[in-house]
Amino acid sequence: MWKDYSLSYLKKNKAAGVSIMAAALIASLFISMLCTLLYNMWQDDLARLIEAEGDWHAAINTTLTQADLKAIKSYAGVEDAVQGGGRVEIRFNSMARVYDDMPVIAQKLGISEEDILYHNLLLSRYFIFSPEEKQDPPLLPAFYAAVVILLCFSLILIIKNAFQFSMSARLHQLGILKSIGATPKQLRSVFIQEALFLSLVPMIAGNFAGIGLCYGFFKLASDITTQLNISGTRFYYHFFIFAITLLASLATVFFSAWLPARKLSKTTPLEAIAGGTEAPVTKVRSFRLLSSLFGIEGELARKSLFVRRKALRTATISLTVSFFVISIFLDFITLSEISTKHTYFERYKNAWDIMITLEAPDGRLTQNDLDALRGVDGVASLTAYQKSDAFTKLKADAFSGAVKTAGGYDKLNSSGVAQNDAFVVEAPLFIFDDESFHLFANEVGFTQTGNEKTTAIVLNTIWNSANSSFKNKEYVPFLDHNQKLTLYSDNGATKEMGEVTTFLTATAPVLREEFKNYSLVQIISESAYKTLSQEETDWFVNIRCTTEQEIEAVAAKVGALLEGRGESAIENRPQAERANAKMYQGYRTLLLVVCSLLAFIGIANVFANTMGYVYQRRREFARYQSLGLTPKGITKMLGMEALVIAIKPILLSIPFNVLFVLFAANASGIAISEFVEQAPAAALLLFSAAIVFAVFVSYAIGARNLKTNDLLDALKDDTLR
Amino acid sequence: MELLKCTDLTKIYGSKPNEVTALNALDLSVEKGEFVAIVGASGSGKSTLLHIIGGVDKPTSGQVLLDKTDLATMGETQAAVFRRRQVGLIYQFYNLIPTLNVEKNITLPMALDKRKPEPEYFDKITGILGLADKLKRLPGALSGGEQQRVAIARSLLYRPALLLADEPTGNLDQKNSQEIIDLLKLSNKNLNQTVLLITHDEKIALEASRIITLQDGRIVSDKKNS
Repeated sequence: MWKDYSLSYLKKNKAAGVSIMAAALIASLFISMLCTLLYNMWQDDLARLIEAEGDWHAAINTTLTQADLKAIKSYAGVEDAVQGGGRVEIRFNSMARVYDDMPVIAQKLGISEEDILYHNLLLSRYFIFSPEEKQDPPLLPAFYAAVVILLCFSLILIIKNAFQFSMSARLHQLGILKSIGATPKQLRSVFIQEALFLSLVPMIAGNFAGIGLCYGFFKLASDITTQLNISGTRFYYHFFIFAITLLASLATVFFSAWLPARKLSKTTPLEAIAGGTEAPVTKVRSFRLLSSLFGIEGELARKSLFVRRKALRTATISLTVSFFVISIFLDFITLSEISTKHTYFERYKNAWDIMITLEAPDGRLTQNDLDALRGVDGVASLTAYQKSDAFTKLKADAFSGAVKTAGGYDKLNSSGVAQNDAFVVEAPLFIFDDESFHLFANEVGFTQTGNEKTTAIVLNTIWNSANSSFKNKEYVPFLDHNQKLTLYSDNGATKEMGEVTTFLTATAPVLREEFKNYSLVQIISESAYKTLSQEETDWFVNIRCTTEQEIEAVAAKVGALLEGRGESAIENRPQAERANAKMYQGYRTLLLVVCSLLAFIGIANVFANTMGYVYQRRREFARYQSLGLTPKGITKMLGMEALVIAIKPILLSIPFNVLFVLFAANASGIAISEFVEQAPAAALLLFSAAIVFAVFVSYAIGARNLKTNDLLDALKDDTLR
Repeated sequence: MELLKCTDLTKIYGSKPNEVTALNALDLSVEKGEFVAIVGASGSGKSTLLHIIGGVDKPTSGQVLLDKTDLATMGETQAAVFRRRQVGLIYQFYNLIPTLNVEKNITLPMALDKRKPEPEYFDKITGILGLADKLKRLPGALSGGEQQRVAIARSLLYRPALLLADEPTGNLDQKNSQEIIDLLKLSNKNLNQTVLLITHDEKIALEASRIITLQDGRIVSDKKNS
């Protein structure tokens, strides 16, 4: 009987199911996105761990005979055992048995338990813990579970209203059913069955949509990281995640339906037939502004919304959160873009056009390579260099008078390490190929030919942190005079590399490099470096082109010249700018999708609100009509309601946005006028317009329901006549 | 002076073969300043008659003239404005706006017209109805009798041509019922307000100056009450 009743109701009242279906779709989409994201984080973590430490579960730190190795391999549960590097690495079919089986294997082979090594980190990633860890289990799995449960709980609070509205729309019918003897349990199960039936397809669709969105996100991230020459991000998925997501979605939908079903099934038959009792209004705010601007209709609309604020809470929260998140993040992205433009693209605009990285040891550059690169059409200048860490010891009298006046080196660099009567100072080496060194030497006025092999051109500046801020750095001379420096390869200054004579300059080489604070930057020739160390390090080639337009063509020619040179990467500035822009666009798209989904929940709630509670709202409007409110007045009231619902989240977020922008712009040294010029106004206006439009459409559809009612029916009270 | 004239008024609900005739070629005339009670059994057509006269329902055929205005030819907006200005409706369940305080509920029909009441008249009505000290309260904080007095004040404020009361005491105890009837009589006497009262309570009907009895959509008795 109930099956027939439900099916016929659902067939005849398709609109009633729409909000339930939308809520189920969005809920499962969010759950699916979160589960897929967590699974990918887990898999990515595993992949990195395996790459760094190897894919083994346990190891024996000794060399075994072939017979012993065979015995291990034949042990039930062991998948494979590989001997190498003085130890045996073992993988198990069932990782859960590793802590039980390894002691047994060791005992059988007569190996001390101290020689057994467990890959605890990897095993714990598979949620297999050693007996010690079990006493104090790691928090990661609990954290994952907590995040999913928290999301489900939040979704229940948000979407349960959608179920409640759909059920409330049938309160009158429910009363009739109760009056003829339907038990609360029967009614509850009818509501829950209907909700689950309606939600089934949206839940599966939401699951797939969540996977699709995550895949799209990972694809975008992978494209960007590939362009930026960072190892790409892979997308992982497993059927098991689909099952978990579906179960979590089912639980969310079940509880979202059960909570209002339980409440409604307890309504008395008379209350239900009357369409629910109207709780007396004991307190209401005055809303003078709306009243004076829009007259009595404005006041009635605002007060009606105030009284129904609990029913509209989902809409208010989700629309506010979506608008708040999108506006703050768009502001943040804009500020971040401006900051990147200033601190990276503009700062290095004249420093590099093409950057080549050749990884040691395969990426060695010969003089012929450099000549060929310099000969490429469109190359204006080229600096090839390597980098090496080095340290030197400086006594107090070595520092400039400005450093001494500022309070000494340790006053400027609070983490400066003193050793006996000297400071160990970082003195990084920038090793230029000989031609580049000559060019730079000429630029800074170092012309003592024949001394290149022992001379380091020293960038003789240090940030006077005692008298200037991080944002407006003031530099003072580092060293007092040219001197001989002993270089060390370690920060303890124990491993001596050799000695160099300084040539002090305040001119920094034009490179795409950020020099460390308080370090004594040294530029030496390749020939000079060879007298200090034989260690091969990565090569960097910084090319500047004759014109901006030639950059990409030169990059292509350079790429062809270096084909097959092992691990090499070629970046060019326009491409990096494009990748950067694409990355920001990616952020915006992702943000827009997430915020639109949030807003969709809110709009579904508004829709459900206008479609549900029809019985009660008809009575409310009938009262107004009986007192002489015209159809135009009703339209005005409904329009006011829609406007308040749509505009309130936007207005609420404005002060937060202003404060955020003022704070963030000030912190990053960006002028407000510059932000205003590039403010994401168009995007925010478009998003706001979409919200306002969607809310108005919901109201327009709902209004048809309210306006076509029979005034007489609505004014009657069926219970007592 | 004739205020209300119903001629050959017929109202049929539903369609054949299940149609129900609520009013059957009814003729009625009410003079200005009369206090008329309409009585009849359930289903006799008394509420239908009141709703048609009040402009919330339309007749199937026939004519209703209130102050020489034909209600049957009115559009929706005209009917709304008519309800606002020409008739004061009082219902059994008060139909007050729960979010507006007593003062705003009373002045609502005028506010819909963007007008303000004359302060002296407003004070007089609220004074007579004993609401002067309750103007800032919300309806939810009032008793049933008090809420019905607010509904009466609201219906009187616009000085409507006709006051229509549909079982105004149906939801009240005996003491409050008598008070409400006394107030209706007072407004009839002091303000020369024409009142049409629907009731199934014969004792209350006896308070009126004229008693009309309906049966099956027709007037079966129309007597002056001395």
